[in-house]
Amino acid sequence: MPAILAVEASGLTKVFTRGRRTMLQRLRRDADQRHAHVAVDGIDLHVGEGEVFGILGPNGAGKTTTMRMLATLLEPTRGEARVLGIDVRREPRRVRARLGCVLSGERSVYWKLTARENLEYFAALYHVPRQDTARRIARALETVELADRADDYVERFSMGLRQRLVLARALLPDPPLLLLDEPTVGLDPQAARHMRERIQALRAEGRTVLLTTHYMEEADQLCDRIAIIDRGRIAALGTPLELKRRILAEQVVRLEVTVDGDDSALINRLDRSGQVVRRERENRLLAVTVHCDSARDFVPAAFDASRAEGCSIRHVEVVPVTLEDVFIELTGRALRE
Amino acid sequence: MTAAMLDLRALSAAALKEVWVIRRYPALWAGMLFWPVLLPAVYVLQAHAYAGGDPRATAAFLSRSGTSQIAGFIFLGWSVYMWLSMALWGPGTALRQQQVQGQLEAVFLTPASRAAVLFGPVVAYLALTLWMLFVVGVALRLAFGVTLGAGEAARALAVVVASTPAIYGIGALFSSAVLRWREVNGLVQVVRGLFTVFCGMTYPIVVLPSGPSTSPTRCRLRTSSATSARCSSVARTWRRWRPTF
Repeated sequence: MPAILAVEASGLTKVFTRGRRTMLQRLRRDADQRHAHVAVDGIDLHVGEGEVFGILGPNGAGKTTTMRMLATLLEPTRGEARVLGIDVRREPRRVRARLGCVLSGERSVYWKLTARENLEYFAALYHVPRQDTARRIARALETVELADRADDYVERFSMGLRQRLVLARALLPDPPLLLLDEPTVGLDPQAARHMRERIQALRAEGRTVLLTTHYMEEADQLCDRIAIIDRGRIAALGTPLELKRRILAEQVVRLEVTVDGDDSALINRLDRSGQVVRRERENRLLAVTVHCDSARDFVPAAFDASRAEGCSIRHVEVVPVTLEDVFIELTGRALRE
Repeated sequence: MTAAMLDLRALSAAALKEVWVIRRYPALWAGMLFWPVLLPAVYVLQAHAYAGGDPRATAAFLSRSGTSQIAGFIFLGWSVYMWLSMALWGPGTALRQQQVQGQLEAVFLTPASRAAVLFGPVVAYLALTLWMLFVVGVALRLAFGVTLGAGEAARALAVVVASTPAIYGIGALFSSAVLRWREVNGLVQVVRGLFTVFCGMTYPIVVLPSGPSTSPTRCRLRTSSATSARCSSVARTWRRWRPTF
């Protein structure tokens, strides 16, 4: 890990109040039903300069809250955070001046303005020197390949184009660090691929990128290091390879089996040939995920076990170990649950 | 560039952005041709209907208001009300709109001062106010024969400018409420209603024999009316206006 840190957080915690207390409840002096919800629970992060660092986790894991605290939009309840060496609590405006953020998606631009007008407005808010504004806007538009649509109204843009404009806006202050919250969510596959290519280009320019995602392939493809986050805590941290090595298996086999009655005998048999890490039953259909050293050996054994228990295998899928498997191993749940 | 200059640039950018957005709604400008004329005209016609052309009614109005120009009196009241509507609720409404549409967070991610972002749109709405005042002036002249000379217009403008800091101060309070509680539409409507009824801006309760007590807004209304109706000197204007401060 490089010596200089772009992001440094220790014991970062955010507690929200959940529930509501209406005026009527106050007047009636009803008991306060609100309770504290710990969205981020003492996270420690160290992101080096020039790294692409991913925070991977399901919805509600605390990824966005973490990003908002680092971007100075939310004040941490406890803990400390420094962005590019600047304390986010003490000097939030200095932090904002050096950050490029894509946090609130494609709706965060003005639809009734052109792409260029949007960038001119935000250039002034980012305190880009007046004599430098036109050049910076042109460069940002070229980087996201929007130069030919610069004078079109944003309301005529597709979602992917608007997300590109949001990225162009984030590049206006020429930031050494970019915070990207779910940058590809809602984009069609082609637009998502373009966005990922742009993130790789940003890394090539020497910028640090901190991104959140719940797409494991995206994290695997883009990130130098990944923190897997669940229920506000970091469950594991390392390079994609290091994380996948936590799974003591070479391959993952996913089976769909039709079962009548109890499935425990079949699971026991399968567990002898591999390691059953996940099972889901919906009516007669049983979905099983098994870690094994060799699918070539496991699959025939699975068919034998199924036949012996009076079941029939409907579908077999053999895949390499993914970050999804790491997440399941760590939390017992899938990323999209 | 100093911090103050950077904020001034952010403020002018926020104003310009609002102008760009307003430019995309030509119906808004067209609407400003009708409403400033149509709404007060109803009250003027109503006043004429009640008075029934009796010179005693006009004399009573003159003795209480200081002017016999009923149309000028009512139109000025409405102009002040419309301007107040823009100045008081404009910044908060603009913020709320950006909050709902999703742009406010992006704005808050920039190092620009929040005050600059808050008051920028208000500057833009001043352009709409000037347009409205122009429309009212033309309507008064063509429809009711009330002529506002350059001197009266300048004095009325001075009154508007002098009251601007106080009015925008109240507007900033509403904007802060929008940011704190998000939805303050109900509160805005209540305050708006109170202004409308008790400040005598839109209906001349100011000239009723036992009208509500003096309020800053009534003072400004009286002053605006008086200056424009050629019955006041600068010194007298200041004496009347002073309670507002």
